[in-house]
Amino acid sequence: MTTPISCREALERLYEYLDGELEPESADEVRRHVEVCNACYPDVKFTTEFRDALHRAARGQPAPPGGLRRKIEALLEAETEE
Amino acid sequence: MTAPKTETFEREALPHLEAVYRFALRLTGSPGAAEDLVQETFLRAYRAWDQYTLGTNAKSWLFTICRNAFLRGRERDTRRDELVTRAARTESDADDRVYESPIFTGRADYDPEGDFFRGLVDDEILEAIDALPDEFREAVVLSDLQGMSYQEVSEILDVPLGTVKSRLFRGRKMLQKALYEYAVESGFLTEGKR
Repeated sequence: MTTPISCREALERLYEYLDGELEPESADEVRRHVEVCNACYPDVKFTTEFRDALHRAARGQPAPPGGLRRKIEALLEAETEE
Repeated sequence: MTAPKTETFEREALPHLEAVYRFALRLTGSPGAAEDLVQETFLRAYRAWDQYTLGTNAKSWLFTICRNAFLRGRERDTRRDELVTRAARTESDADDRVYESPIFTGRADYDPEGDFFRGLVDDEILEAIDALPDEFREAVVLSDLQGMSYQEVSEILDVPLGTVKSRLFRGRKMLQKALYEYAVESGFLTEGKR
């Protein structure tokens, strides 16, 4: 059974919680708090929306140009022949 | 150069080409410069391949080489140096700060729950990330765009774990503010949506 934590403690650890960086017990404390706390809800939702937007943008980044791998392989080949 | 070296390099390093390219793109801000930087990164990595332990974290290792190559090649103009100095000062102050919310509090008037983030297109978000001061941008890119752990970010940037947390704390907050202000200025976030 984990100890209840305050809103401030929960928000201080929120990023580490969402990033999966907390020890299990600490993560459990945050999870138990934010699941039921109305006062924290806007902050938690704001942060979740923010993270989702960043992850979406990460997936939308352009792929490397088609010939780049070939160029690198040619560089390595030349290096190997030296 | 031996065949096994080429084989292991192709197996362990080249699959990370896309991730390294995307990282280079955020560092340089230009596709052409990113392409050059990626080529330099893989060439340096190949030359130093005997220093890499097979089966460990090739992606993290390549990112370190990429960042070092970028820093060495970058033009250091006065303005950038000023930004770095200012940011470093803010960072050291953060250690003794009184409680500060990790979330941008100014958004309360219009959109306290951050629904506006769903209306932003990827390019607007990426441009806002590119506009962050260097050290905050690096931390946000590595953690939020590349999904690296704090430990990996700490090793790539060669800073303590606490500094990674502090840079993420500040960088994310700056980014939230920039995106919020962009949404207000663009007119798709108005008081009526409250």
